Amino acid sequence: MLQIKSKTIIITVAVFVLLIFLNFLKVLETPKQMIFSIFAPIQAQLYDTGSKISKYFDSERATANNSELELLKAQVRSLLIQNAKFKILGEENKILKKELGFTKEHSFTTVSARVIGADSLRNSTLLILQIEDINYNTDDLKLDMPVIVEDGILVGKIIKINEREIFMAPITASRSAVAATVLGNNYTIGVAEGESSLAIKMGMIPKTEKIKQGELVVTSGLEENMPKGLLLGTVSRVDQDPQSPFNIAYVTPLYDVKRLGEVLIIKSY
Amino acid sequence: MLKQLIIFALVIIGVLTQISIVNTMPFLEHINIVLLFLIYLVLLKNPFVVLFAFVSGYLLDIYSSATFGLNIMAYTIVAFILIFIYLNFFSSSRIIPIIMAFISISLYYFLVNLAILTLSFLKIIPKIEIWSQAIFINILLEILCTTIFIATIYIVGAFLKKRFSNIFIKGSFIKN
Repeated sequence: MLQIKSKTIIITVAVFVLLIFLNFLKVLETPKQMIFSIFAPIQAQLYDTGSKISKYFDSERATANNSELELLKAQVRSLLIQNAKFKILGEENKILKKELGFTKEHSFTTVSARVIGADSLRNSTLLILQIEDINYNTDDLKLDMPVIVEDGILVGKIIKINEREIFMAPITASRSAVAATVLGNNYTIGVAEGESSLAIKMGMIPKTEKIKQGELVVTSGLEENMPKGLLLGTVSRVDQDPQSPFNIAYVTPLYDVKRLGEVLIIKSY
Repeated sequence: MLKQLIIFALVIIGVLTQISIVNTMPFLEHINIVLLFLIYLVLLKNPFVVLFAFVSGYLLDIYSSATFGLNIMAYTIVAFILIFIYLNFFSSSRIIPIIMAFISISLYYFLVNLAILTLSFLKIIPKIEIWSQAIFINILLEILCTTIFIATIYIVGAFLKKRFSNIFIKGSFIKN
């Protein structure tokens, strides 16, 4: 029989307080990790199935032309990565010529992970990652480490690490911010922040900087763990407010964060 | 014992689908599966509604970046309030699932945002954005999608129940 008894309320409150207390003492860490480890494979499978179903419906909707378009988009992405690398290499080459004997290589040390779900808090856009190597020790992972796909497209940053459970803030999340520039520039020209979980807004761009539609936005490497030259997206629109000392550029991300599966966490570079 | 096991199975199904498969799909991503189960358990007058809400909240807290206990608190309070409303005001109303969907989602967001605001004010957690146009649209979409989903299942369920009970009655007449 459905009814609210005062005894039920008292027991519920008591158990709640006890759980909070035990969690504060870190007694609940082991059962939490156990539950996470038990359900992680099922969850990964479910997330993967969801992505596949979603992709299936997308492809059903798409025509033959659209699939060709997708192929071309993938090719463009790959070429953009190559282009960015060549430009950075070119810049490095210039510096190296100046500073003889000094060599610097831009190769990343990465850890592969997979997306197994989303943050359970309803208005949060964070994703849960799990390191693929079950024996890997997560102690050498730090907050704000970049998460990439396809060898150079930035998709997010690590914002919380709970033993084996890693929370990633996608670059489109409102709490995400990264120092950025346009490809070919050697200095930071603005801050790329998430916009409504869909796009990226690059603010704080000085009026003197001339940004064109279609230009490629990359990380400038100003932050501690963030390498230079990771792709963010292409400029879709530039807003120039005469009242403001800064311009705003709207950037279309190169990757849909909802379709993420396998990702790489950059540990060092 | 079997009833409790069913409740635990529902918790696991609800939580795992909510944080994984449902999140990747265009329409379903706006449906709160745990609240959906909670509403149906209230409508079915299941005595384990509070247990379901509490355990779901605990499991959801394991998969949450926010402070531990936030989901337990929010879902348990929602469960208590839904039971209270159902027993005292709308038990005979035909639009009860719609009212419950609206109340439960609004209440869930109110409680979670209030807790986040309080915790960030007390500097226990860093400041998190709880109010923006995108979040507001998301809440509205969740209310709309969950309500439509609940209403559809409720109507289909009521129709099937009526149809099958007719068959059962006819069958018993034939036997007699």
